[in-house]
Amino acid sequence: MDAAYNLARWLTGNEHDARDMVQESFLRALKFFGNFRGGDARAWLLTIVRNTVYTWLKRRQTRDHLLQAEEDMEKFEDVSVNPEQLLERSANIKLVRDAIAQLPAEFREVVVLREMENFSYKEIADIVGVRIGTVMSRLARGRRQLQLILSQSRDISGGRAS
Amino acid sequence: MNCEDLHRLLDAHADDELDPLRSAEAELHLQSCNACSAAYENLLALKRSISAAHFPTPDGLRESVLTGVRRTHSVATFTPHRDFRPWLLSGLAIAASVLLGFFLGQNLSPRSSNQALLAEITDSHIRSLFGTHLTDVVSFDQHTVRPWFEGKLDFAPPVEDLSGHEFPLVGGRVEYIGGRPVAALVYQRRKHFINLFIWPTGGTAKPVAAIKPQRGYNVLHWRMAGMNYSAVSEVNEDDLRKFAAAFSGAANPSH
Repeated sequence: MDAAYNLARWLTGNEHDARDMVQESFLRALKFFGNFRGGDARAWLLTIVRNTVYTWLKRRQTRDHLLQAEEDMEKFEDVSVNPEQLLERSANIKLVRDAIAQLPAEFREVVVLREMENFSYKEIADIVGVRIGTVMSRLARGRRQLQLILSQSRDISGGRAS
Repeated sequence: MNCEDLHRLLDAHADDELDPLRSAEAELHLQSCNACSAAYENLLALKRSISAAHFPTPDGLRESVLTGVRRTHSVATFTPHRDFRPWLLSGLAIAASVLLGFFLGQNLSPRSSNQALLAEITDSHIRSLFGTHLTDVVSFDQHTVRPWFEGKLDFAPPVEDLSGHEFPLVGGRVEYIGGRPVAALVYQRRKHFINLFIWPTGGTAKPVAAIKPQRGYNVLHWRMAGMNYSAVSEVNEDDLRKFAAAFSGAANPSH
């Protein structure tokens, strides 16, 4: 349940929609319980949550939003990051959440499934429906991008109230 | 392994996804290369801070999911449908309740802080069995154990005598778990012991639910009247559930 909400929250971007998605996903899970082939039930449920959210997002025509970023990525690769700044900013949960929210959805979902729900690469590949190699590269690029966003985010003491 | 090789494998290494040989090679390189080991430390720090950004499930969501499911369930499942045979319906109903019980009962398991708490509780149970520290107050009498907690805890745990249900009270102790003092009541079931951990909560009541056994010990968790309860024991789940029912019945006679 917590994993279902967390994933929905990260994919929808707000609490209200995430709640609806969790409701909807549990109903779907019940409906399709007959299709459950055994294995990890948590991964199975999250697959349903993910599909539910994406179906809903598509309906809201925000699909373009999900499928960008591939090209934008290249220029980020070699930027050096100041480790001290990075450490300091990583400690601020709001900054971290803002940074994760800025990731393209395809990177965000693998990062959430790996770091917050502790799924293996194989399990993530099954949930997301891609090859393990793709999971690895999305995860690595997502992390590099997070490090970059965190290192570039404005100094919070002088910026917005945290 | 050179820096470039390591760079490609750094994420997989941090995620514990490398085979043992390559993992050892990566480790070797990290020990000898300051730049790479700094990058690795950064990555680990990033992993930790991402995992802390987990969103907690909002209050009331669990309940509203249950309500929604019950509503749909009673309409959909019990409306005759030409494709479904009766046996299939009852099968679905059972499947539905198993599934729900499974996910709703998982409150304690997925999140890492809860995992840590669960591990602490299990540790405490194991320590109490192997060490000499099963109880601080030894008594079969609830009227001795209950006042003993006064002044040692910032709350008053219910202490019940369940000898009538074949779960005699053995005693109690105070544990420090999850950063706070927790009451541990010790009950006996034949030759086995049950540790019942009690601490206050602001959350709503939750029915008794089994959590994935921890290192071979069965764990039940429930919430009632402002208290969290975790029962840990090597007794089988049925007996542990009987215990939970007997305790809840005695502590909260109105239910």
